[in-house]
Amino acid sequence: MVLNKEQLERYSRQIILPEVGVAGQEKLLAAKVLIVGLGGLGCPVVLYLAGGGVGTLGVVDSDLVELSNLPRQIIYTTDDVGKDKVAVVSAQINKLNPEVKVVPRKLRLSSDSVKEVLKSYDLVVDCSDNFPTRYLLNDACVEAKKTLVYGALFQFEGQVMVVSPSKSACYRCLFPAAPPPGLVPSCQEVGVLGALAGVIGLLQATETLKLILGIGEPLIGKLIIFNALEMNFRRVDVSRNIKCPVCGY
Amino acid sequence: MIKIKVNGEEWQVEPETNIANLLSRKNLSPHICAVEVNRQIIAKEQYVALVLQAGDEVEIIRFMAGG
Repeated sequence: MVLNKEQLERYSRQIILPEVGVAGQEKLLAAKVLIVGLGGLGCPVVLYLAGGGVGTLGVVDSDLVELSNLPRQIIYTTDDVGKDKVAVVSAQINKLNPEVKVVPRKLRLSSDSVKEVLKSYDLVVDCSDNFPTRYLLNDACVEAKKTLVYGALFQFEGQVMVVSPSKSACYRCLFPAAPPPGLVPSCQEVGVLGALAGVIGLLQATETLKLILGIGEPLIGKLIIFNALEMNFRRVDVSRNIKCPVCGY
Repeated sequence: MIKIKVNGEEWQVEPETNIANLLSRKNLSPHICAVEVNRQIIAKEQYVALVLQAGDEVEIIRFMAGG
């Protein structure tokens, strides 16, 4: 792949970084990333990956835009209420960076579809908003040996971790099974600060770009916990769990 | 009393304190978090049996699904 004049101009601030360069930009353009969930996390993730020139972005969500999404799901405008999220995202990404190929999938991941949906991607970003999807995605990524960038929110707190299957702890190493229904309330039930979604989503986007570029130290086997009220980050080492039901050894 | 670390902060606890005691002191149900002691994930079945020792580093990690 040879970058044309417009690409050299568009990505000039990245290409000038010694850690990126033309070779790094080519890696980004060749990369295929799947983003599951186009909510508070998915919106900033998609925008920055597209802006940065990640060549193929698969986007998965079955929902329509709702008014209550707008404070944190920053791709959508008031006029978009009622439209398919995947359709609005595809149109916006096309405006932001027409050379990014967006693959919209309007569906809710299930055990029947997950393998097929993941198949053509190098890397998966978990921006979902429920436990069943998180476990489904983790287990499928471990099985298919695809790197997973996990992110989650709760009120004023967020978490980010990178799962490198069979090399580092997976989501189930940390949380072997979902909590009993009703014990961990959702954002819909207990709220979330809109800007927090931006912080956590952009940590996921940054980790994704680093992983594609092969630079720095991604959060492999490390969980970041961000607390917006205290404005601090805690980094916790997460070891592989030999009794893990999916990646135990 | 013995000194341990919980989420990076120093705590004083009674000798013989186990993880279940620690969680109830923080008002947390064992179902909504994971617990690490000295960087090892502890299975929930061990929460009563595992007695904390001076110098132990405990991390209590909340379950969250929001996105």
